[in-house]
Amino acid sequence: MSPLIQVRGVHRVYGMGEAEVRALDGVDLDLEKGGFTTLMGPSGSGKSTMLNIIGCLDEPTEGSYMLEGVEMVGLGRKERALVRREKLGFVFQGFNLLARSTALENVELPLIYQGFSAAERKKRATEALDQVGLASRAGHLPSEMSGGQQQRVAIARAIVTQPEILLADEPTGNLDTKTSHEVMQLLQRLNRDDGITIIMVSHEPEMMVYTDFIVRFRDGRVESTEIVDHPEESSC
Amino acid sequence: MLMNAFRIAVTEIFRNLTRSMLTALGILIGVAAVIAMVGLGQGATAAIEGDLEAMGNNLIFVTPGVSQRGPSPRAQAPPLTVRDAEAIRQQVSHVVAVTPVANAAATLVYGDEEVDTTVNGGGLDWFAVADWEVVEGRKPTQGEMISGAAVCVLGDTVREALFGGEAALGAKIRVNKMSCEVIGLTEVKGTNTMGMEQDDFVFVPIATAHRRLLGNTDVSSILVSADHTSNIDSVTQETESLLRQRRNIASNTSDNFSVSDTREMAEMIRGITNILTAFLGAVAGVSLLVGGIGIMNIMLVSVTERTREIGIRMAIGALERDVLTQFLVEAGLLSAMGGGLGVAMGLLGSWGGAKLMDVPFVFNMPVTLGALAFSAVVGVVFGWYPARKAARMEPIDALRHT
Repeated sequence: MSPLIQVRGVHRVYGMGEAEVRALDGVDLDLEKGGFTTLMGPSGSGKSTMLNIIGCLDEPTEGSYMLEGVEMVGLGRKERALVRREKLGFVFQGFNLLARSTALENVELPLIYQGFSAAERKKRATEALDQVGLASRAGHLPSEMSGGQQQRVAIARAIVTQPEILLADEPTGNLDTKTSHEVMQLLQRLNRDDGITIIMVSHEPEMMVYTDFIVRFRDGRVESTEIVDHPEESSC
Repeated sequence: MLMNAFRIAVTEIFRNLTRSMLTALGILIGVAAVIAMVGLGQGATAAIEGDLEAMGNNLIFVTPGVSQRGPSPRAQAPPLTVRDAEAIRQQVSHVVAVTPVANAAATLVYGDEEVDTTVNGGGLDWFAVADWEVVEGRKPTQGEMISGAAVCVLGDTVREALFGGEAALGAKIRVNKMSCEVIGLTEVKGTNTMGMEQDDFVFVPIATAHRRLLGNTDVSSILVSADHTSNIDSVTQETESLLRQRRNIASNTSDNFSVSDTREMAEMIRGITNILTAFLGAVAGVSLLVGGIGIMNIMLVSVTERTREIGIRMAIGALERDVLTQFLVEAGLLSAMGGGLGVAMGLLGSWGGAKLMDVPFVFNMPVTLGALAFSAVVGVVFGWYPARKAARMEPIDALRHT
């Protein structure tokens, strides 16, 4: 059986001629269902570009990307939007909540585009907020919440559609250490308890302990792949 | 989704209410102008038609000469006579009243007061044809009419100028060199829409006018009243052939008199007001167009401001269509809001204008609904380009936008 994500010979080139930037320069990558993977590397190494391509937000200049055995390269705008809608959830570094909508409304948003009734939306969004421990803050605006809370709302918004894959771009990049650990614990729980495949971009080594696999990028290529030991668990 | 687009649109419009109002102002003014212009135009037309009706019942005018323009035809044409009027009364069917009219300018004097006015010399039917009511005193008797007695009936303007608050009935006034007794006063009609002072006249029997004021027996026009509007045409035709016969006009020569009725005048005036209304409406339409461009401008700004939001929506599953709908609904709603307020302002304006100009207030349903619908269409048409711009964004670029 083919892996959940299969990337072959992917190049991504921005600009033309002199100003040409090779963000990805021939990447092969297999990611299995149910894993929690960190894409690591210095800035400019291509890790975020890879995440965007996996998230169908960006397209490779060259190469193949199969999601669940289906080729994603060459799909139209609408098909890619449908893949995002049905299979993917996104968490961003800057939270990207709609500032003028309450926590609940933000979480409901993806369900609106999926065509759920108002009652069903409210039920599911409340459940998702409950999952991230913020049911009590449903009526608050993002500006009335701490960074950690905002990111947890964003995570609730990403999982409310029960996606196959959760894509997180530097989810702890804007958070302090304590909240970062809380958010990472939440992601880990979603991965372990609910079986959501998570792919995260990060350059903070201390966050890696929550994940299972590390893919290191350098100069647009995969430098190494490793499995993370979880000593504290094996010792238990 | 559409419900939701409406909710988002309403939220966005109210979030920046000042800007929304300023944007909608262009449409508001356009719609208000269209409605006010058309409303006032129609009010003026209705008022003028009312005036023409007030000039008399199913009125037909007979005047010597072909055209009123240029002196030659009128000079050559023989005048009408009192006997022509009698002949029309006796020989033309569907005629209820006929009066010859002889006009003269005159100076009226009573005591120290003096006023210049028009003398209307006419038959007894003059009151019926020209639709005048004698509210005080009486009309001349048949005997006074025939003998050309020195009696007169005053219009209210003349009465006011000569007598002010004093009693006028029975008083002796001078009309040019003739001394005559005031026997009646007419109702007050006031100024008509065309600015004509209707009460500024003195009526005397036509025999009196001929003998004592004019010194000839010319009739400047004959007024004929048909029994029903539908018979105006037949009365006109019969009058024409009767007069051709009486004036010995050969069949190959054209008339040296003209027969016309108020409908022709109404038609002409309606034509003029319609052109004016259309012209003003078109100017107002242009302002609607300008309003539409204003909406496009603000929507473009709004799309740019909300690029990041658009990126977020696309990342979490909005299709191109969803984004397009959202912005189109917003533009349409903004414009329709301007249109709605514009309708209110326009109706208010045309109502106030009608009061001010003393014309009837006309509510035109098709124009009102049309202007409202057109404003929404303007919003959607001019909102389409910004909405498409939003919908065509690459989610990745939109998300990176700061």
